[in-house]
Amino acid sequence: MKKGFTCILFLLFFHLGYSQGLKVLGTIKDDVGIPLPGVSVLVKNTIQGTVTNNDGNFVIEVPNTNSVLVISYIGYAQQEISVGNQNNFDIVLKESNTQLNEVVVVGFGTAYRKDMTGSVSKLGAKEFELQPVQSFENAMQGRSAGVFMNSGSGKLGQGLNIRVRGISSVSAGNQPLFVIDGVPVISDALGSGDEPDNPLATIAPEDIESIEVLKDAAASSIYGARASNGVVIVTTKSSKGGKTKVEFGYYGGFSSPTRKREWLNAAEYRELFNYAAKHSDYGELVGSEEFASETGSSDWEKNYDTKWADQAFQNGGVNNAHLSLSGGDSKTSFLLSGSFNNQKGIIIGNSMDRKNIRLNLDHKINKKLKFGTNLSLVRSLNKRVPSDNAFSNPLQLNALPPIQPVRDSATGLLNRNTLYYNNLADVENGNNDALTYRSISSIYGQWDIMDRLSFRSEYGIDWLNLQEEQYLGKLTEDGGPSGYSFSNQVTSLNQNVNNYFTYQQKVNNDLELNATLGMQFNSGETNSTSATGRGFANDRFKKIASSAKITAASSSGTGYAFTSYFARANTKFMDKFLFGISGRVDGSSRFGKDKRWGFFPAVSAGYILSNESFLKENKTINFLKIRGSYGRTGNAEIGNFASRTLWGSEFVGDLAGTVPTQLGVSNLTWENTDQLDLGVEFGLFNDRLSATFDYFEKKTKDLLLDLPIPSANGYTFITKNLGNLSNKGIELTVTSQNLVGKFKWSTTFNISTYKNKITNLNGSTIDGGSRQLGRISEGKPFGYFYGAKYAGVNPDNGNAQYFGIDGKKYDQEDFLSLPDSMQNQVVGDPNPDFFGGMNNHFSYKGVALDIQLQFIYGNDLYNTAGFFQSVNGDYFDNQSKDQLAYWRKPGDVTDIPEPRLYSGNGSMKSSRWVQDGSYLRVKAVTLSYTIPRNWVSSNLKMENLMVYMSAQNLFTFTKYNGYDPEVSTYFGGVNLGHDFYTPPQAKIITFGVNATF
Amino acid sequence: MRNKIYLISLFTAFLFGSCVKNLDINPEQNIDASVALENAEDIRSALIGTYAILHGGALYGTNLNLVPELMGSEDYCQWRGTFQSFRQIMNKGMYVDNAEASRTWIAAYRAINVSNNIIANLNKVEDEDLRKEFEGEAKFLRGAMYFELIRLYAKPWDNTGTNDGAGVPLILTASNDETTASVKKGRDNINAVYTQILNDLKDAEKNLPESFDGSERFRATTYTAKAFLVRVYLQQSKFAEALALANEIIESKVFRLNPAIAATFSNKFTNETIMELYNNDQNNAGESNDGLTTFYASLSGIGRSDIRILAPFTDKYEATDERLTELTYEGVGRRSGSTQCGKWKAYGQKYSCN
Repeated sequence: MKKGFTCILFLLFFHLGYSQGLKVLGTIKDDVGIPLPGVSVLVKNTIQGTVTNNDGNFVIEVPNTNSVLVISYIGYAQQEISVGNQNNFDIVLKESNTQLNEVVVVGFGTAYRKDMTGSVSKLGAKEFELQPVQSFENAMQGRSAGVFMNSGSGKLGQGLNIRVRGISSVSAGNQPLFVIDGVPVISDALGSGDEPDNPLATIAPEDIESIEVLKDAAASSIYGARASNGVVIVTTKSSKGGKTKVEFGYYGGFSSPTRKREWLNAAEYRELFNYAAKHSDYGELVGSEEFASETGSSDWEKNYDTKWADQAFQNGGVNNAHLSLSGGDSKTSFLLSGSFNNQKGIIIGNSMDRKNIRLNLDHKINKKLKFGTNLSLVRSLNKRVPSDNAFSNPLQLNALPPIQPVRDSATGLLNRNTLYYNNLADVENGNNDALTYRSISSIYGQWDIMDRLSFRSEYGIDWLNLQEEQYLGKLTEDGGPSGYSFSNQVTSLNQNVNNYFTYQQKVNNDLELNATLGMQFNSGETNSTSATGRGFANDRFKKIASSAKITAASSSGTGYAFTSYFARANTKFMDKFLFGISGRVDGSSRFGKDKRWGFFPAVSAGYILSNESFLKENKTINFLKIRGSYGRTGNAEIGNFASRTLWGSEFVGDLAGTVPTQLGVSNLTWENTDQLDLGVEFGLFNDRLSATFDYFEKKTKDLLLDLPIPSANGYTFITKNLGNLSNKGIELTVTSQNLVGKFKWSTTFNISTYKNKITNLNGSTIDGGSRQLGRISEGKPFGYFYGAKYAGVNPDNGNAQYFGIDGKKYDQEDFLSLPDSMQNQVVGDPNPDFFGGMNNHFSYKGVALDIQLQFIYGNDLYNTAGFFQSVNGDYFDNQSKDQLAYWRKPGDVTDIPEPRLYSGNGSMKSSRWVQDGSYLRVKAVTLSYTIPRNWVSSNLKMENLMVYMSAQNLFTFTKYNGYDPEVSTYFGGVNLGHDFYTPPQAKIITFGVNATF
Repeated sequence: MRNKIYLISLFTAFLFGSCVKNLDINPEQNIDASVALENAEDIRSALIGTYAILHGGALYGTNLNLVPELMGSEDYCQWRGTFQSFRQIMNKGMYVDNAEASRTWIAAYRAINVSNNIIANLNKVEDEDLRKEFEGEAKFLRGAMYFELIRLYAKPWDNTGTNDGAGVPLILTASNDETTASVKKGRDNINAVYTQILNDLKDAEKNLPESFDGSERFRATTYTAKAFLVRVYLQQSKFAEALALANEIIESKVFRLNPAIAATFSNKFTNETIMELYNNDQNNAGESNDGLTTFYASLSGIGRSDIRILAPFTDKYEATDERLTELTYEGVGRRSGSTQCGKWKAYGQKYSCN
C-alpha cells in the first residue's frame, strides 16, 4: 500500500518537457572588486542553478532570453537580472546584513527566507570565524534567537546545555537533534564520567559554513519524531571550483578565569573560627583544639597563609592553525582542509587537543549526474577534570583552610594532613584522558532527471571511537593504596541513508510549486568494553596489564533504528500567498511494538503584504510578511528499550543468575509536541532596518513518566506516556544598517523568552535531592526552586531566621518544629525572563570592529556549595569573605548569623544561597585589519591578508557573587541553575592572521 | 518517456519500501521477559538470580546484618558515618523517607516476585525431582524474605497474643506485567505471615537436597531450611520445636565448628556455615558506599570505619577470649585508633548469614 501511494504521489509531481539551452557567463564581485566565490546563480522558478567558482565566474544554461537570473549570497543583497540578448555579465553585489534574502538550509533542501513560512535561525561562518570558540555550538550563544545556551562549566570538552524554545521534556532528552551534512550525528555523551562529555567538540569550527536552527513545526516536522527539541543543521564548507586558492589562518592567545573569588586569609580564618568555637552550641570550645582534633595537624599554631583557591587555576592558552586548499575545474571542485587546535584550560590538568582533516569533493559526470563526498577525520585528546561533586575536583580546594600549607616544607611533598583531600595529588599523580577518533563522512549522488525534478541519494556515517584511560596513583585518595587504572573503549557507529526527490516549477505567473518527497533510514549502534585494575608495583606502571587484580570488567552494546518517509510541498500564489504542508512518518525500534509508527504533520501559510498593490509603492516599507504554522513533532530520546519488560543478569560470587530488571508497556512511545508559531517579518527603508518577530506556543503531551506502583509486587515504577507541559514565548531579531557609506555601522539585536509550565505530572513531583532546590511539579516551571525561605538574622540573638509559609519570621529552631507543610515554599526560578544578544559591527576601509554582547535576565542561581563555603564558620571549610560581617552582639543588623561551630546556625538548605543570575556579557570582541589588497598582491604575492585580535568573555556584569553566572553543575535533569564548585568560564584573548594565496 | 517514468517509479518504490524490517533491534544485555523462564535451565538461572538479589547491600550484603545490629546498638557499637539513614536507625528515630527502610523493602519484595515467577513456571521443568527441588528452593527464598520482612516491618510475634496486628502484604502470585504489578494489597496480619513462612520453609525442608557442591554451595539445602525454621520458632518462642530441629541439624554431623573463630568469616565455605553468600573481587556489595567491609573496616585503603565497637562491649570479654582477640582490632585506616569489628576485612570476602 505504502509503495503504491508513493508512486501516485510521484506521478502527480511529474511534468514533461525539454529545455533548449542558451549559455550565459558572468563574473560576480563585491563593491570593492573582490571576486565572490560560492554565489548562487539560479534561473528563476526552476531548480537550474550554479554557483560561482573561486574567481567569481559562473556559466549557466538558461531556457530562453526571457529567463531571469537570481543572484544571491549570504550577507549581500539579492539581485534579479533579465538575460535578454546579453550573454556575459559583470555583476556587482552590494553588502546587506538583512536576513530576508538569504538562502536557508531547511533539511532535505534549501529555501529563500522571504518565501519561507517556517521559523529558522541562521548563523553564517562570517559571524563567528574569527572567534576562538571552544566548540562550534558556542557560536550560537547570544546570536541565534530562540536558542538558549549554557556552557555549564569552564571545563574543556564538557557537555553544553542547548535548549531551543524552552524545555520540552522532563525525562526524555532535551538537546536538539544535530544534523551535519545530512547525517544525524552523535551529540550525547558517550564517556563513562559522571558529567557528560561533548562529542560535538571534535568538530572543527573552521570547517563550518552555516548553522541553521529549525524551530517551529513547519520547519522541523520534516525531522518528525526527533524534532521537538529543535533541529540544528550544520553545513560544512565546500569549494565552487576555479583556480586553486590556499587559505591559511592562525591564532594564538591566552586565557584566564572570568572571575576569581575572595576567601578568608589566615588571620581572618583564625578570628572567625575562634569566635565560632567560643560560641558553639556545644559549650565554649577552643578553635585551635577543635581544629587539631578535626585535622590531626598543629597548623593553627603555625604561620601559613595559603591561597588554596588559586591552586585550582592555571594560565590557559590556545593555539589554532588552519590550512585549506580549494579549487577545481568545470567538472570537479574540491576543498581540502586541515587544522589543529590546542587548548590549555584554566583549571589545572585540563586540556583539549584536536586535529582535523577534511576533503569535500564534488564532480559532475555530465549535465544530469553529479556525485560528491564529504570525508573527515578527527583525533581529539581531552584531559578531563574530575566531576564538580568529587573531592578530587580542584575547585574544591577553596574549602581548605588558609592556615594549612600546600606542601610539607621539610619533604616538599604534598601536604596530606589537610582538612579535606589535597587533590593536587590527582594532578601530580594521575591522569584522566579521553581520546576520540571520529569520522563524519558521506557520499551523495544527484540526478537531475529533468529541468524541474531531481533525485538525490546520500549515505553517511558518523563513526566515533572513544578511548578513556584513567590512572590514579598510590598517593591519591581514590587510587590508594596501590594504584588504580581504568580503561574504557567505546565505539559508536551511526549510519544514515537519505533518498529524496526535489521538484520545483513555476506553473504559471501566479503559481509556483516546490516539493520534496523522500525517505530516511538511520541506525546507531554503540559498543563498549571496559576494565578496572588495582594493585600496581609503582606509579610508573599505569596500564591494566601491570595490575595485580582486575576489580571490574565489562562489555556491552546497544542500538536503535529509524525508518522514515517524508514529504513537503510549498506553493506561492500571485507572488504573495504562501502555503506549506509537510509531514513525516517515523518508525523506530525505540517505540513499543504496539505503537511503532508515528505521523508528524505541519501546515503553514504566509502572506507577503508588501507585494500587494497598496504597499508596493510604499517608500518606507519594502518588505512585509506575516506567517503562521501549526504542526506536530516528536521526541524519540526515550531510551533504546524503554518499552520492554526485560530480564538481566545479577551475580552471586562466581555464578550468574537472571532477574527481572524493567517493567515495560508495549505502547510506550515518543513524546508529542504540538506547536503554533505566528511570525512577522519586515524590511524598512530598502532593508536598512529589518526585523523578524515570532510568537510560539508549544504543547507537549505523552511525556515519559515513571509512574510509581506498589513495590510489594516486585517493581517500583512503570514508565508510561502520561504528562503534559507547555512552553510559550517570543523571539525578536532586529537588524539595522545604521551607517552605510564608507564608514559602516550595523547592529543586530535579538531577544527571546520562553515560559515553561508543567501542566500534568499525574499528581507527582520530582525533587532534585537532599542538597538541591530543583523541583518539578504541576503548575510550575521546570526546575523551580523549592525549599525553606531564608529571612536573615534575628538582631536580638544572632539566630538564623526563616519565613514560614504564613509569612512570619521564625528562629531556626522554631522553624524546624513547624510541620513540613509550613516550611517549604517557592524560592526561585532558574528559567530566565528573557535572553539574547546584540552585535555591533563597524568597518572603515580595511578596519573592522565587531562587538557581540550576550545577556540573560531574571533567572535564579543556587550556590549549592553555600552550605559549606558561606555558612558563618559552621565547620572548618574556608569561608567566603562576606561571612566576616557576622552577627556579634544584640542589635547588630546583618544577614550573616552568629558563627557557632558545629551548630548549624543558618546551615540548612534554603534560599540563603539563591541569587539573581542575570548577567550581561561582552561575549566577543574582534578587531581586524585587512591589509590593502593592492599592496598585498604586489608586495607579498598574496590575494588577501588580514590580522586581528579577538576576545571572548571579555567583561561580565552580574550581581552573582559566585565564580561565573553562566553555570550549571551537572546534578541530573531536575536541577537547573545550580552551582557546586563549578569552574568559571574562560576569558580568552587571541591574536590571529588569515592569509589567502 | 513513459518507460522512463515507469522506471523511476519502480526505483522509488524499491528505495522506499526496503528498510522497515530493520526496526527489530533487541537489547544485548537483557532478554525479553516472555522468554526468561522457558525451561529448567532458565528456572535455575532465576533461582541463582534471586540469591544475587539477597547478596546485594539492601539485603544480606549489608542491611540484614547491619540494621539489626544498629537497632540494638546500646553499649555495643556506634554508627558515626555520614549516612543519616543508619544514624536514624541507631537512634531509633527513623523518618518516613529512610533510605534503608525503602531499599530493603523493595529488594526483599523483588526477590519474592522472582520466587513467585519461578513457582508459576515450574510446569516448564520436565524432570519431576528437579521440579520439586526448584519448588522447595523458591519457597525457601520466599519464606526467608517474609521472615526478614516481618521482623523488620511489623511488631514482634507475641507469644501470648492473637498476632492479628498489621504484618506485611503477602504476595504469592507472580507479577510480570502492568496489571499484575499495579495491584494494591494491604498488610496481612502477623499471624498469616508467620503461617505462610512456616508453610514455605517446611515445603523447602521437605524438597531441598542435602547438599550442593562447588561454587553452588551458597544454595539452600534442607539443613538451611531447617536452620531458618529454627529461627522462626525461636522468634515465636516455640523453644521445644526450635531445640528439636536445631538438634537434628547438629546430629546430622554435616556441620562442625571451625578450630579458629575468624575462619568462619574469612574463609570460603567452611564446615561451620549452613548458608553462605560470598563475594569476589568483581561481585560484592560495594567498596565505597555500601557493603559490610566498607562500613566496618579501618585498614589501609580499606573501609571507612563508620561503625566502631564500644568499650562496654569489649570489656565483657576476658583479655584472652578469642572473640575479643580475633574478632576485634584497633583501626589503622580511616578514623584510626578505635575498636573495629574483625569479621569483615576485605571487599572480596564472603559473609555468612546464619
